[in-house]
Amino acid sequence: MRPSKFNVRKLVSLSVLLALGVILNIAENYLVFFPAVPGMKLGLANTIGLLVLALFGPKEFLLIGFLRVLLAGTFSGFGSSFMMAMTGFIFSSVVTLALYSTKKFSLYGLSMMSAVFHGVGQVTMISFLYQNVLMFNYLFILMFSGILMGVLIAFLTKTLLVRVKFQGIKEVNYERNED
Amino acid sequence: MSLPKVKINKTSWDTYAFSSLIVLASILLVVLNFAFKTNDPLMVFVYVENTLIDKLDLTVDQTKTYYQVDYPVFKGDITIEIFDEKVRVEKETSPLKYCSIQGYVGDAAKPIICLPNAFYVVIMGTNYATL
Repeated sequence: MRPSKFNVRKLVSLSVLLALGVILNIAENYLVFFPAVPGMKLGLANTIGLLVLALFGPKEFLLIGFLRVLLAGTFSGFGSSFMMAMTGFIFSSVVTLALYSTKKFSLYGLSMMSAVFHGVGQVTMISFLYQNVLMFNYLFILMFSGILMGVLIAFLTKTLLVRVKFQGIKEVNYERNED
Repeated sequence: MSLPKVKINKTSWDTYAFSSLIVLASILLVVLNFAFKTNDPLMVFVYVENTLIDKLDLTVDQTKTYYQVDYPVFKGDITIEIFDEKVRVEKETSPLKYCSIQGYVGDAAKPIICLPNAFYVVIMGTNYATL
């Protein structure tokens, strides 16, 4: 029998991670951490993105991230929020993969830059939609929150990678470098 | 060609990235604070999509409602309140109600955005835009 490039076990694992990502994405919309800054989120769904990158690789990271935003859009609608989410995803993914390919950054660096550039993407899109540069006034707040949340999300992802035994996932794409 | 592995422990490059981002965000904070500083009397500018629909005096306490009948893009009527030289969105219809949760804003150039309604208000100097 010819070996399948995209085997069933991998398909199921990625589907479960995608479902978790969508649930986290929708659930955290209802959590308001700091009311004065709309759009400031913990970014729990990014944990799934980083897990996919660390367990499978960049192609799967892009695929699951794209599908997550698309599926979350089917629940919340394809309006301006979806456009912002998609722009945030594109900006953060490009930066994450660019830094990942340099082999110099760990989960912490990738997560931080991803969170910050997600905010940059969102602010760019809303400024474009409303044709008003004043929206960039939120950027520094989103940058500070992105740094903080990025570190927290990286810590959470690392803990999951170290402590949880991902049954049957053989395509492991991470290494325990020296701290 | 094998893919690069994701490192799970912190590297020195992460520290450089962290420091650079903190510096960049701080510079942005200072620059934006200076860029939007104004000595003009402050007004509340009300926008739907990217069109200015109203300009209100920030020194006069008032409540004003914008109706869905007049702006079909709204999901319901929107009420804004100006009180003690601050503005807030008092009532609105949206799934998550972010803009009414945000509360009062008294700083210039810090918009309150109601994304699903394509509506935003911002405090700026009188000469910022004309109706």
